Amino acid sequence: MTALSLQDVSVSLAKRVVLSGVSASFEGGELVGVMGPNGSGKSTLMRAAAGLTPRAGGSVSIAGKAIETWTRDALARELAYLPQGGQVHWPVSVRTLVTLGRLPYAGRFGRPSPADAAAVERAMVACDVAKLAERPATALSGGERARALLARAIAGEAKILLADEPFAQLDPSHQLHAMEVLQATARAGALVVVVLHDLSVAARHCSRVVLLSEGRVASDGAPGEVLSSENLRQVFGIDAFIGEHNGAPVILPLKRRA
Amino acid sequence: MESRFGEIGLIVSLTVATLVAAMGSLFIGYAPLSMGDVVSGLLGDQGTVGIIMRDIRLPRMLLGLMAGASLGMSGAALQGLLRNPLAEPGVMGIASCASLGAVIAIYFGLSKEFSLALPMMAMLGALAAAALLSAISGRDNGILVLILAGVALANLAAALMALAMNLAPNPWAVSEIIYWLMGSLKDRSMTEFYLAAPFVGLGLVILAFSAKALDALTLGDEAAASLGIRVVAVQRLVTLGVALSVGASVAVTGAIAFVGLIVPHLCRPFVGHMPSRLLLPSAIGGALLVVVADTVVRLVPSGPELMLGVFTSLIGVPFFLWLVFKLRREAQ
Repeated sequence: MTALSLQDVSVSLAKRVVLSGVSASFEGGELVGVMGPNGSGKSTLMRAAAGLTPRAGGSVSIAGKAIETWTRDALARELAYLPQGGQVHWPVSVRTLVTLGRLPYAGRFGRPSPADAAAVERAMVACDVAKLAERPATALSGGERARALLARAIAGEAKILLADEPFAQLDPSHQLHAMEVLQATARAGALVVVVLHDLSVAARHCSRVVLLSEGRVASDGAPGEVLSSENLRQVFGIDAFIGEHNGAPVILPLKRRA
Repeated sequence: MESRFGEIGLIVSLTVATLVAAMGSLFIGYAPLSMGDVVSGLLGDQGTVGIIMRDIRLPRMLLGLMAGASLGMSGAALQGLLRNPLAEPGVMGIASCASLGAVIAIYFGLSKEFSLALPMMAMLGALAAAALLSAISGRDNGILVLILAGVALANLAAALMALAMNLAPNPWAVSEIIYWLMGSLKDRSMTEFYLAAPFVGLGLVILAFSAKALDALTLGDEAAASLGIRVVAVQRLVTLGVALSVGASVAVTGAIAFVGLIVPHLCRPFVGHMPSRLLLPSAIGGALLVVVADTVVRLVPSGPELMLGVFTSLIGVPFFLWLVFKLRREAQ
């Protein structure tokens, strides 16, 4: 069944059209990379899909139901969203931070149940932050915090995970690790949509890439087709080396076109 | 760092300490009363002792508990909402607008015509401030807008109070206003307690119900919204809760500064930084602090009694400065 569907979605921010007429449907199990130049509407697309920004037009449906008809708690259990450059406002422990991902399951004064604690533990192990569980989240390095926040997002075990640039501050090893976490999440049946900039990582790990340009979908499909030299030239304005290593694609930006 | 033991231990010890302090405060006053007098006075003595206990010391103690709990919990809730450890009820302009309401009641002589006019006007001032803050912050869910609106309101209220004193018809009105602004639990009655208590209770319940949302705000507005929290609704709810509880307390006691700032900070080492864990301990801790402070002002052998609001400011300002230095060190 279609997990997430956008029909002709348009969004204007401060009277500027940021997204216009974006349509796409996604199934559970897909790992979708959303790519495009800065300001092409990637974050806005994620926020529109999460129901966090008012639309100028179009519709969003989650699991076949219009997003407006979902109750807030049910939607939060179905869909997890990790904003770009996530903040942590209080020096709470990493465990407490990750436990916030279970809030949609808690009652009004909800204390975490054993099921919550187990899910939190799984998420911390998956994101390699279990060793940091008792450390204050504000005292972590940027990369450690990014992993803790990713753990927060997957702790809810939602069927849809929207992650906006979760790798921005990760070293190569943890970037690969985080991508494996997302891949495992998708393999378990969830839809994972991730905004990223690394062309090779997208080409190698994503099952599908949506390429945005000036608020419109420029291309949508298998990474090999979408990340073609023609598309990279038109959308990013770059010449790139597109090759292969042990059967997996490698894409390296070479130079900007004038 | 955030153990359940710390939380339960803190709540139990604070509750015990508050009960002891509240009992103790009944024994301390300007008339020397024996333990037997205190008990018989509370239980229905018809003479002077009964009047002192039931009409002076008991309302004073109950008002101290009520005002302290309001200020403590409001401070914790506001720090959670604004995600700023320097926030307190005064920051939002709610306490100032309550004071302004009271000053208006005094200035126009309403409080002379009708004794409950003063607390009622003060509550009205707090609610008006809350409504204005909600309207200004409106659908724009930026926290900065709320803080700036609060600062503007606080300054407006201060200016209007100064204007009232400037134009006051006679020196008595001025001294009455100043006296009230200093904040005190002295010479209040059970009537005032009964008037304020329902509003305080309602306000505290509203704040307690926002606990989960305040926790979610730790992750920022957008992540909180994606966790199912109505961010704008939480801002309005907390503003209303603070207006009701602090507004009703200030209406009776006058301005008692810094309690809402200090208490959550004293609780954090025991329960951690999650706003939901801080609400209850801060309420009890606030009650304890105010009752103890009000007992101290009775014990200090000054000529006229040291005013409670003056006393809390005197201990609060150095604490505030220490906090600013501490935050600056951490930021470096």
